Amino acid sequence: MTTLILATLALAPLAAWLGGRSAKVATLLALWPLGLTVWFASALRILLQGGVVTDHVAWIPSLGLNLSFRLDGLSAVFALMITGIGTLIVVYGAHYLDGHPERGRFQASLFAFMAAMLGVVLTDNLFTLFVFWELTGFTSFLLIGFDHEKESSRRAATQALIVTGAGGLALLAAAVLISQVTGTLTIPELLSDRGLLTNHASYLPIVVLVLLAAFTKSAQFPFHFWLPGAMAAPTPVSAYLHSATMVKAGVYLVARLTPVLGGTLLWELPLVIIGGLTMLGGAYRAVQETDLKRVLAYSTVSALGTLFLLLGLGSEAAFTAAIVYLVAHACYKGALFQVAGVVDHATGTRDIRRLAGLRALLPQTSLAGLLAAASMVGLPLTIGFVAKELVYEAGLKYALSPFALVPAVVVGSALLGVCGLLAGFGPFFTPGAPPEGSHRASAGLWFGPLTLAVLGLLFGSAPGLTSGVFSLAASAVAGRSVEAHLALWHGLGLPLGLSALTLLLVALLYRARKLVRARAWPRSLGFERGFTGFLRIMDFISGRIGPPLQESSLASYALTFVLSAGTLVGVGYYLTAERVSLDGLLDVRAYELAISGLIILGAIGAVRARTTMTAVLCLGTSGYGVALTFLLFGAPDLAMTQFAAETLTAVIFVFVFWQFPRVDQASARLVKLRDAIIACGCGVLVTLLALDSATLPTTRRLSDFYAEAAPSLAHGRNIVNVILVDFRAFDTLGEITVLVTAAVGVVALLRIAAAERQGG
Amino acid sequence: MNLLFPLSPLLVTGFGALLLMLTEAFGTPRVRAAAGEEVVDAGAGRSGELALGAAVVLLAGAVLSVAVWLAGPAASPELKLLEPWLVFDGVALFMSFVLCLGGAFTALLAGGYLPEHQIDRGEFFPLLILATLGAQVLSASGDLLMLFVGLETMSLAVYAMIGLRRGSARAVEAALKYFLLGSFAAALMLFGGALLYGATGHTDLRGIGQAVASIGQPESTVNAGLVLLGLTLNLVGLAFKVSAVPFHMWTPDAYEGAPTPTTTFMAVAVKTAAFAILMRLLLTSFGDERAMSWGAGWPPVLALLAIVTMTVANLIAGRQESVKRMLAYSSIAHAGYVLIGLVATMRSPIEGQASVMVYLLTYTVSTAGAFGALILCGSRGAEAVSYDDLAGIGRRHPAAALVFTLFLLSLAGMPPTAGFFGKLYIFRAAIDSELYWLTVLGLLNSLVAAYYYLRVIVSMYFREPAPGAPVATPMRSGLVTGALVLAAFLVLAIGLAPATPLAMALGSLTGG
Repeated sequence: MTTLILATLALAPLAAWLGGRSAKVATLLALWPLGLTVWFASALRILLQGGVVTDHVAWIPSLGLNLSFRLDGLSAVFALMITGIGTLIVVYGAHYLDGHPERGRFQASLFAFMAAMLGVVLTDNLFTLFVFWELTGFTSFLLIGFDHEKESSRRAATQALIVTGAGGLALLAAAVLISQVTGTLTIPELLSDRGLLTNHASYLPIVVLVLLAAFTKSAQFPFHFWLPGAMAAPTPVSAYLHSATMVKAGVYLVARLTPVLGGTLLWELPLVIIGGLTMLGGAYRAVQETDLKRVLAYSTVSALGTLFLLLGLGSEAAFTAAIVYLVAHACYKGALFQVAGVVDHATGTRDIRRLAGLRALLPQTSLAGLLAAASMVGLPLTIGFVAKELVYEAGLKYALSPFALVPAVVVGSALLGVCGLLAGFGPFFTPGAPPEGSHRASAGLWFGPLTLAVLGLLFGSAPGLTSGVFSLAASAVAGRSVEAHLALWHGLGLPLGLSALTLLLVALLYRARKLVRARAWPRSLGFERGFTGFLRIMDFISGRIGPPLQESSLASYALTFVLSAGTLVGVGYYLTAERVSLDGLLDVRAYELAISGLIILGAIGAVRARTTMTAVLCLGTSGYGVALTFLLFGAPDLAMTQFAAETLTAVIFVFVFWQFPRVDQASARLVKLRDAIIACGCGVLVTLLALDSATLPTTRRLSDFYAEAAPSLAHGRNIVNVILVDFRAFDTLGEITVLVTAAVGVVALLRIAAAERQGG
Repeated sequence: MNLLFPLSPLLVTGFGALLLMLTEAFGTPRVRAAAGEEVVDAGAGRSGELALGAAVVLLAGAVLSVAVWLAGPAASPELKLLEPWLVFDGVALFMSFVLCLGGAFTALLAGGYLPEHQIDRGEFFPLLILATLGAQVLSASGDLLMLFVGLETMSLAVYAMIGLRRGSARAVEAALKYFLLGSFAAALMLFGGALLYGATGHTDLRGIGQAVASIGQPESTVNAGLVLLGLTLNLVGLAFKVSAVPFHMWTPDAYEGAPTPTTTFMAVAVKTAAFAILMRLLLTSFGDERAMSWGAGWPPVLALLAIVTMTVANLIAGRQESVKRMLAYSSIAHAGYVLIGLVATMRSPIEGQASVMVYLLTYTVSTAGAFGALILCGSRGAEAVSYDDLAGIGRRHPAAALVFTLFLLSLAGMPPTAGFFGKLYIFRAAIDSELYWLTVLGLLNSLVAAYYYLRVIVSMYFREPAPGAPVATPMRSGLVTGALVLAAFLVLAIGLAPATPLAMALGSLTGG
C-alpha cells in the first residue's frame, strides 16, 4: 500500500503532462485510479475472510514513526470511494476542462490529493494521519484556487485552508496528548486498551480537540461556511472533494476513533447536538439557494451533519446506518454535482430559476439526474431508500430521546429530498424552454454521473452485494462484530411509515418551492462574515501594534532597550534586595568629593551642551574623573588605560565631528522630562548595584599567586618575565599573531591608498 | 599532544580567514576604480573565487566538525586541557557544524550577490570566516571571558559586513544602529559577568554553577542577589543577540539595510551561536534544581520572553510589505520557538536541549534557503524585496519559485520539510515538561505565521505584476544555485529522515 500511495503521488508530474494533452489522452489517466479500485476491491476478499491487509515501512524509528498502513472494513469503504469516484472524476475533469490552458495542473493536483486522501484513510498511525490530513488541506487549497485569476476563488481557497488548517493543528495537539497518555500512536494499540483514555484527566481536552478537527474538516456548524464558499472550485473538484472525499475525512476520523474514545456521553452528545443542528440548518439553507452548486453544497453540509449524528447515537444500528448513508450520499451527491457541472457546461448558467426542459437536449444526463434524485429522495430500490430506513430505525432506537430526534431527522430528510429534486429533476423535467445557446454534452461528461447513479440503483436493488463490506466497516466503528441487515423490504413498521411521510413532505415542499425560497427567514447567521471580521480585527490589531513598536529611530530603540533591561534588572533587584550597607562608605575625603563633583559636572555638561564638540569634551572630563578615582584607589594600570582611552576617543571624536552641525534640534519639554526620569532611574539602579557589590569580600589578590608560583613552578625571579614567557606564553603568542594580522590589514589599506593616488 | 585533529574545525576557519586576508592584501584587483567611483580593494572583481574559497573553508569546517563528532570524546582526551576556557564537547561540535554550514551558505550567496549588486569587494569573505570563527568560539566557550572574546570577534566582523555598501545611507544607518545597541548589550553582559565573578569568585561557567548550586546551604557565602542580577544582565545581552522582543528593535532595520547575504548570516549563524551559549550558560551555571524551578529560577522569565517574542513578531510580520522585512520578523518569531525549547529543559533537560539543537539546524537550512531564494529572484540593480516584486515568478521562473516555496513551507513548519520536525521536537519537549499553555500559544503562533508565508507563495503563483511595473528577473549565478540546491536537499533530507539529526543531538548530550 505504501508503494501504491507513493506511486500515486509520483504520478502527479506525469498527470500534469498527459492531462495537458487532449481530452482523449487525459482520459487514459483514469487507468491508474481504476487499477487502484480493482486492487482494493480484490483485497475485499481477504477482508471478508476475516483478514486484515497491513504494510509496514520504518520511517523514523527513534520517534516511533513508521509508515504503516492497514486496510480494514472502514478503510476499504473509504478507499473504494476515493479511487472509484476518483476514476470517474479524472474522466469527467478531462472533458469538463477540455481546452482549459492549465488542465494539466488540475490532473496533477488531483493525483496528489488522491494520494494524500488514501494516506488519511489507510494509515494506522495518528501522527501519519495528521501529516496526510494536512496534505489534503494543502492540495485542496490548490484545487479550490484552481481559477486563481478570480479574486473570489483565491479568497475561498484561503478561507478553506485556514479553517481546515486550524482543525489540523487541533488534531496534532490531540495526537500529542493521546501519545502522552497511552505512550503509543498506532491505532490498533490504542484499540487494545481503550479504558485508559476515557478515564484519564486529559480525556476532555482530547475529545474537544478531536471533534474540533473533525468538525472543521467536515464543515460542521459553526465552521460550515467554508464549504459553500469552496464552490468557487471547478465542478469536478466539488464533485470529488466536497461530496465524496475530503469533507468525509472528519467523519472518518470520528468513526476511526469511536472505539477508542467513544461510548461516553462526553463523546456522543456533542456529535448528536452539533450533527443534528448542522443537519437541520444545512438542509434549511439548501432549499433557499438558487445556485445549483450552492444547493448541493448546503445539502452536503446537512448530510455530513446526519453522519455525525448517527455516529453520536452510538448503537450498532446507527453505525450501520452511518456507513450505508455514507456510501449512498457519495453515490447520489457525486452524481448530482457532476450533473450540475454538465448543466452549467451546456447552458452557461446554474440558476435553478432559469433552468427548465433540458431533458431532450441532455437525455443521458437527465437520466443520471433522475436516478440520483430518486436515491436522494429515498424512493424504494435505490440505496438512498435503504439508508433512510436504517437511519429511521437507528433514530427510533435512540435511548436518550427518540421523540425529539426522529421528527428532526424526518424534516431534515424531507428538505434534503427537495434539494435532490431541485438539482436532479427540476432542470430537466420542469416544463419550459432551455436557456438560449444551450448545447449538447459529450459522452465523457455524462459517463461519470450516469455510472454513479446506476451504481446507487444497483446497490439499492441488490443489497446482498454490499452487506458483507458494510458489516465489516460497521464492526470497525463499533469495535466489535456487527452484522448489517440490508434488505429491500424491512417489513411494515414505523420506519416505513416515516419514509412514506418523508416522501409526502418532499412532494408538498417541492410544489411550494418558490414560496419556501421567498419566505424563508432567517437567511444566514453570518458566520462567514464573523470569520472575515475576525481576520480583519487581527489585521487591525497588528496594524495598531506595529507602528509604535517600529519607529525606526535609534533614540526610541535605545529607550525601549534601556527601559526593558532596567525593568528586568530592577525587578530582580527588588526581589533580592536585602542590604544596602553604607558602612565604611561614608568615610569620604574632600578631594574625593571634588573628583566626584567633576564627574557629575561633566555628565550634566554633556547633556546640556549645544555643540557636539562641547559634549565630547564634557564627556571626556567625566572619564578623566573616573580615571583619577582609579588612581586614588590603587589601580594605576587601570587608570593609565582609562586615560589613554579617553584621550584617544576625544581625539577621534574631534576629527569626526569637526564638520557636524550644532545639535539644536532640542527635544520637547515633555520628552526631555521623560528621558531625564528614565536616565535618573537607571542611575539610581546602577548606584544601588555598585553599593551592593561593594559589600563583597575582596581578599583574592592575583599578585600573591604569581609571587608564590614564580620561583616554585617557573624557576624564575623576575615575575614580569615569568608571566610573559611562562604563565601567559600563549597570550604572548596570540598578541604577536594579532600584531601580524593587523600589519597585514595595514598593508592592504596602504595599497588601496596607493591605488587611489594613482587613479585620482 | 594531539590537539590538531579535535581542534581542526576552529583551526580551519582561523587559518582560512588569515589566508583569504593575505590574498586580499597581496593579490591584484581585477577591476580598476573608474574616476569618481568607490575605492577598489585588492579583492575587487574576485568575489566568485573568494566566495568559493570561503565556502570551501567553511564547508571543511562543517565536515571536520562532524568528523570530530563521530570520533567521539574518547578519541581526543587532550581536549580536556582546554577546559574550562573552551568546552569542545558534542554540543559545541554540533553547533560548530550548524554555524559553518550557515557561514558556507552565506559565502556562496555572497559570491553571487555582491558582483550582481556592484559591491564586489573582497573583504567580505575574510570577515565572514572570522565572524564564523567568533561564533564557533562563542558557542564552545566555557568561561565568561572567552564568551566575551567570541562574542566580540563575531559582532565586530558582522558590524562591518552590514556596512559593506558604504555608499548607501540605509546600510550605514543599519550598521550604526546595530553597532550602538550591540555595544550597549555587550557592556551589559560585561557588567553582568563582573557581578557573577564578584558573587561567586569564578569566571568559568562550571565554577559559577557550583557556587550557584550552593546557594541556600548554610555554609554558602554566595550573594544570591548579585547572582540574580548578573544572570539578568547576561540574559538581556543574549536576548539582544537572538533578537527576542523587546530587545529586537534593531533587527528589522539591520536585516533590511544590510546586504542580503549579511542578513542571512545574522539570521542564521549569529542567532545560532547566541542560542548555543545561552543554553550552555543556563544549563552549566544555572542548571541546579533551584535555578531551574518554575518558582525561583529563570524558566518563567524565558517563557514570558518566548510568548511576547512569538506573538509580537508574528502579528507585525503579517503586515510587512517587504518580504525581506517579513523574513526579519519571521526570524524573531523563530527565536520565540527556540526559547520554548530552552524553557522545556527545565523538566526534561536532554530532550529540551536536543530539540533546541535540531531546531537551530532546521532553521538554519530553511532560513538560509529562503534568503537565498530572495537573492536569486532579484538581479542587477533590482533586488526583489516586496511582494509585488515576486508576482508572477511562479510562471516565469518555476524552478526559483519552487525552491522558494519549499523553504517557506519549511519555515511555516509544514510536513514533510525539515521545519516541521524542528517544531515537532520543540513542542514535544515542551509537552514533556508539562508546558501546555506555552505549547498551545506556540501552535497558535505557527498558524498565524503560516498566513504570511503563504502570502509569498500566493504572490509568486497567483498574481501577475502590475502592468508597467518593473519585473524582477532572477540572476544567473552558479554559486547561488549551488547554495539553494544544497539547502533544498537538506530541507527535504531532514524532512524525510529526521531521525539522524535527532540521534546526533541526543548523542551529543548523552555522550553516545
